[in-house]
Amino acid sequence: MRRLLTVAVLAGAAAALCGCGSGSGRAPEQVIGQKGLKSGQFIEPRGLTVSNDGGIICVDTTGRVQRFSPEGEFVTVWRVPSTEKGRPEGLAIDLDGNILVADTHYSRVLEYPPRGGDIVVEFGSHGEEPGQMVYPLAVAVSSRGEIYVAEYGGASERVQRFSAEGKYISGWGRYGTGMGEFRRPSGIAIDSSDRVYVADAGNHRVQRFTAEGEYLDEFGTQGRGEGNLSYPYDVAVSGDRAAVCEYGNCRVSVFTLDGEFVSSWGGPGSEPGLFATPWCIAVGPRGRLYVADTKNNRVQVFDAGWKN
Amino acid sequence: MSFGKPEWLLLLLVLPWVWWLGKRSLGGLPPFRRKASVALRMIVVTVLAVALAEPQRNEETDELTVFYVLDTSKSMPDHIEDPETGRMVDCKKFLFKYMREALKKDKARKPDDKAGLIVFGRDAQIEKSPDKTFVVENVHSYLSRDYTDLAGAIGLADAAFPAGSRKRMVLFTDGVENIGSAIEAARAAHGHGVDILVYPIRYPKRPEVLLERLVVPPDVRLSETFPVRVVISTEQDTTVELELFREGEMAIEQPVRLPLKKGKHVYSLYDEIEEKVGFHHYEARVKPLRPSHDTIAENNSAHAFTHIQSEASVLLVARDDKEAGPLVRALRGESIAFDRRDPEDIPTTRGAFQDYDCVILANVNSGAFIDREHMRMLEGAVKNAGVGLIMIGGEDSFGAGGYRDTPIEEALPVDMDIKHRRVMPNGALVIILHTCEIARGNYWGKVVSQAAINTLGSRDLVGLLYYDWNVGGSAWLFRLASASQKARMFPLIDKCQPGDMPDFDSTLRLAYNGLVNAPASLKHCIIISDGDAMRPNPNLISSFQAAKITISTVGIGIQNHGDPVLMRNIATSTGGTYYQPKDPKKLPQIFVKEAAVVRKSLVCNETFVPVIAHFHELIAGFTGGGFPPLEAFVITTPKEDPTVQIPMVAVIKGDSSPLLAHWKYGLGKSTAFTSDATGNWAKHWVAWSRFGNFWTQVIRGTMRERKPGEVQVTTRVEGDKGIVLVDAIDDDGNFINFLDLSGRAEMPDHKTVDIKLRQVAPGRYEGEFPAEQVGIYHLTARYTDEADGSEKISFSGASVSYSPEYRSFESNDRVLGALASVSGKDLLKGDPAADGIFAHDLPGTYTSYPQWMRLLALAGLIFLLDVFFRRVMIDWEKVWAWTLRTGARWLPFVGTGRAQEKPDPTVAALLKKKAELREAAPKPIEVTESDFFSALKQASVRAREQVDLQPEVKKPTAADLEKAMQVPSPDKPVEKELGFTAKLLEAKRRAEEDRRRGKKS
Repeated sequence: MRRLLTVAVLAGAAAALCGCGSGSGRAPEQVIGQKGLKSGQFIEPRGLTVSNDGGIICVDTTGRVQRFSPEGEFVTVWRVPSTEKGRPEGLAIDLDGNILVADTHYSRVLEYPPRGGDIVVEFGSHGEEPGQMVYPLAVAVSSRGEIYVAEYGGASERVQRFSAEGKYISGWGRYGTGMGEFRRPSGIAIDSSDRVYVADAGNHRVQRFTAEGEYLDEFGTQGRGEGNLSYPYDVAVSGDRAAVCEYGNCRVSVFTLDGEFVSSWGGPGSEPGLFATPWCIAVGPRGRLYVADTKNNRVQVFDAGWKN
Repeated sequence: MSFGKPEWLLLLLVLPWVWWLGKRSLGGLPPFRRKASVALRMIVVTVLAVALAEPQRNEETDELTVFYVLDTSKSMPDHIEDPETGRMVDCKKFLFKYMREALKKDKARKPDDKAGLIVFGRDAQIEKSPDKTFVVENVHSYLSRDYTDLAGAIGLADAAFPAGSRKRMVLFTDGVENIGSAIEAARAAHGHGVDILVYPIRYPKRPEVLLERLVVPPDVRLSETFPVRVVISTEQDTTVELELFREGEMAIEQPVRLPLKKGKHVYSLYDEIEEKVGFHHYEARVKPLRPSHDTIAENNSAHAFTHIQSEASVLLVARDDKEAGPLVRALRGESIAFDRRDPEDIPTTRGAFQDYDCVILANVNSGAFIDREHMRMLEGAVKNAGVGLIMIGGEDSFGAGGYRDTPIEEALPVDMDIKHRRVMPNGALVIILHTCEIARGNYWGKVVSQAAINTLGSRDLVGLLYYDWNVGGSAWLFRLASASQKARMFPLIDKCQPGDMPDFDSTLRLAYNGLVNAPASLKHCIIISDGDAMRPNPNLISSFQAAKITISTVGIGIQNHGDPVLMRNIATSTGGTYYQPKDPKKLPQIFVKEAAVVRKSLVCNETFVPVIAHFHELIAGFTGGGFPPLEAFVITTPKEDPTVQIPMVAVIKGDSSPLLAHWKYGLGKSTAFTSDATGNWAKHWVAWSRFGNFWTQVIRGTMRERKPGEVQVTTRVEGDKGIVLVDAIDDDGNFINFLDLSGRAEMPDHKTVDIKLRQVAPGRYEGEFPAEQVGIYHLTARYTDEADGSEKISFSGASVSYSPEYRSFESNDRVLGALASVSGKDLLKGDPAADGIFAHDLPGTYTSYPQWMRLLALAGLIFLLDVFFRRVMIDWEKVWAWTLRTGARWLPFVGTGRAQEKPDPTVAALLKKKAELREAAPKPIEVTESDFFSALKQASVRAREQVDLQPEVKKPTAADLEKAMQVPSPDKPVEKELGFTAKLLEAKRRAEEDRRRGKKS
């Protein structure tokens, strides 16, 4: 009995020291928003991007696109044209500072001025032909101004490349688990060399391609350990680092651009530094990471210390 | 002073007897003590008699209690005019403000005055007990507002006033009442000293269109044209559109436009019924073209019934002609009128079921019924209207059809769960919940899961999978376990918060791993999802196929953002079914049907020859030749009820299961045939020459006997009561008297109420039933015909279209004025300071304080005094001496403060004289206990010495003892100076001596 008690005490002490059971939280620099329909509040934010000046743009499941100042103060809000079929999930900023919205359930990409207002450009229609889309999930812009759209639905699981004006250039990918194949490409990012990183959620990996779509390499395997991924919903790239937000593991994992594991933090929970099904990640000026912490109805900002 | 029960004062008549008894029993006491004791006893009896008479001390009180009595019925307006400003204000807020301000501003109010609040509608409740403060701002009591029982509220207030207070009630009402008589109740309350004030809630005549009544002849013939009359009242000239519906469908070609003048109008439409016998439900609706001409929408419709008698009829519900064909031929062959319908067309009203004498469900899945209430209609028609019910087996029938724990199962003679079999078939079901993306997704997830589990039997296994983001993937909410563990499962389902499932693959893999080794003969999986999750690996689907595990998929909200093709493919590739309901309300039906898939394990696919268990009229004439073999049946269990008859059974490997079961259920009968009536399981039967005879005999033995009663039942609704009138006249026109009639009403909520019908006139019987609910009431009256012993049943119906509160257009000034006049007061004007709510102008009231407890205590004290007098003898000399000693010690001190230095010479002389006298007086002998035993010891020693001296043993005698006990005596004789103990000893000695002498002589 005494031995049992000793073991229990030791186990408790060890658990307390290791912080087991509550995930490895990392204190965020800032937490923006809470659950609600008022300005500056969210109902499950799913899309996120950050402008060059640090302005934060976020879309949630009510179809509201909200813009915040670099300090996290609410600036403005607008709505996508309709949300009956479903809400948009992907955001990006083009070279002119316009905001691109992957309007997932309407099979199109919308382009808004930096502070919202009328749609500037709209491209895409429902279908699986080149230039058409089924469910566009993510959008990204290369240094050349080209727009990359990742989509799923029907037999179509692919990445398409459009000009800044929305004209189809090329595309690649299909449903599968092999190289260059996807199971729900949910996130997309482009590094300074215009290499394309695709978060292949269903295959629990991130694939890297050339700007033209040639397969280069990949990193991540399904699991919960270091370097493993579970449903990576989005990827963000800056400098020599790639950050992946994992829907399944409720955490952020950081890799080198060559796929070597660097660190991870988070875990399921509602405390600052923990996540509930994080959907989107973006990198901003001064190496700050922004995570759409969906079920917690907030955006968490971390100082990753990266050099842009 | 007054007495509550003065009759107890008659007890004083026993005083002479107490005196006589005391005098006799206390003869041994000295005269003074005896007289004192007798007197005390008489006083005790007197005090007790007065206490029993409950004396009360009455004191006049000035305290005033006011009960505010607030009408909250539906006729009360939401807004009334503020008499001060003339503006329309919120009615309740204004009245509560008035009540509060009356307490504050009425200068006549005294500090001890109290106010309470009673609210009422159909019932009355005390919202706030009388208190010196009044801070009520809203009504929290739950009341039915469909009726107004002002009389009941006045009665409650009358009874709730505290005793000893002046009483006043202030009625806040519009005077519209539909239960009881408020004026009579007010007069009764006034008779009890209650002052009644009335705050009139007046509102101007509201623009209104009211459909007062719909009148349809109670009985019509087929193809007879009959009038349908509509009574409409309007408060202004207007134009309305009138619509008439029969069984929910338009009975006229198009709405009739009626220009109406202010007042009451009767408009007649005409209808004829050609195709259906039985009850027909009519509904009329009016709609003013100008919405501003109508205030209350609830009173714009009315309902009525008519009934068409015909030959016997049967409703045969079957999925297709293959299921129905053989039975249809049998019914036609026997000329039984029938109506064949698909499961989707099952009647949806109670009256429609009642049209038929028998309903046959031939292999119809429980999903054909909309919900339990729909099933309850059929069950009610069997139980309360005598409709026959036959369920015929098949893969979609009995337990395999999902009828476990349903109202239909209640009506059948067999239970769907199986017990007492050597091999217990079972199934395993996994539910995958992905409902978070649909509106109220978590709610529907819980509803469908619980509906599915309820369908399963205790031998079946069930598990539930969902996406748990806390564990980062799909997880079991509960693993496969017996469905009997509902008590554990349902709370888990209630707490479950399913996350957005990204991938079907991992979830289906968990389901497969759970099911593949589950000890079940049928394994099934149901997925409910918006179809947005990633598709599963094809190899996994192949594994499901190989393991014969079926998957059904339910796509909800899928048309917006899911993949219906994916969902359909998963289902069809594994042998399951794909559903895409537009209305989530259909989900429970789907889940019940799908859960019943695993209950198909209840189907026993073994060829057998039916065994006759015992003779029954259903199989009369068939017992000799035997029956052809059948190829399958659904396993059921007979109900544990002695009235259940099992004429035929199926015996497989020693296990017996009902094949044909029958019983009487309420007024009707029901039969279960657990095999089918098609070429599927009964191909030998269908080819059998007596197939038609068998089934028509079963149907005739189950269907309602159509012997129309000779009584005519009519109903009407008055207030919250329904009145049933039964007229009984025989064929010769004579009244039928002294019938043992019993009535029953089925309420709109399907509960039944027995009606006591009593004879009120020759051939006329009357009874009542509660008619507080809005909806349709079905009534039956039945009796046994003494001539042939047959049971005769008559039917009727009634409807309450809307609450009577919606019939009032304006406040009832007559009632308001009459209520105010009961106390001779005017109606209140709405000024809380001047209305005199707390005026102390009421006659004084008296508060009675009971005194019986004090008297009882007094009687107890006097009784103790009596005991003291009788039992305690006081040595007054000693008392006197002690008093003198104490006085000598204390009096000088008290008197001068220097008593010790200068004693009072008189007192000192007296004390000295007393001391001398005491010295001179002879001292009394005091024998203590120690003296007694010392003397006894000395006597013993002396006796022993004598024994030693004398050789002869001689015991000491009593005289020796006496002698030994004697102590040296003083001068005077001992007897006169002995104490009480010594006297007793002396008396004992004498008695002993006398006894000895007596022996010697």
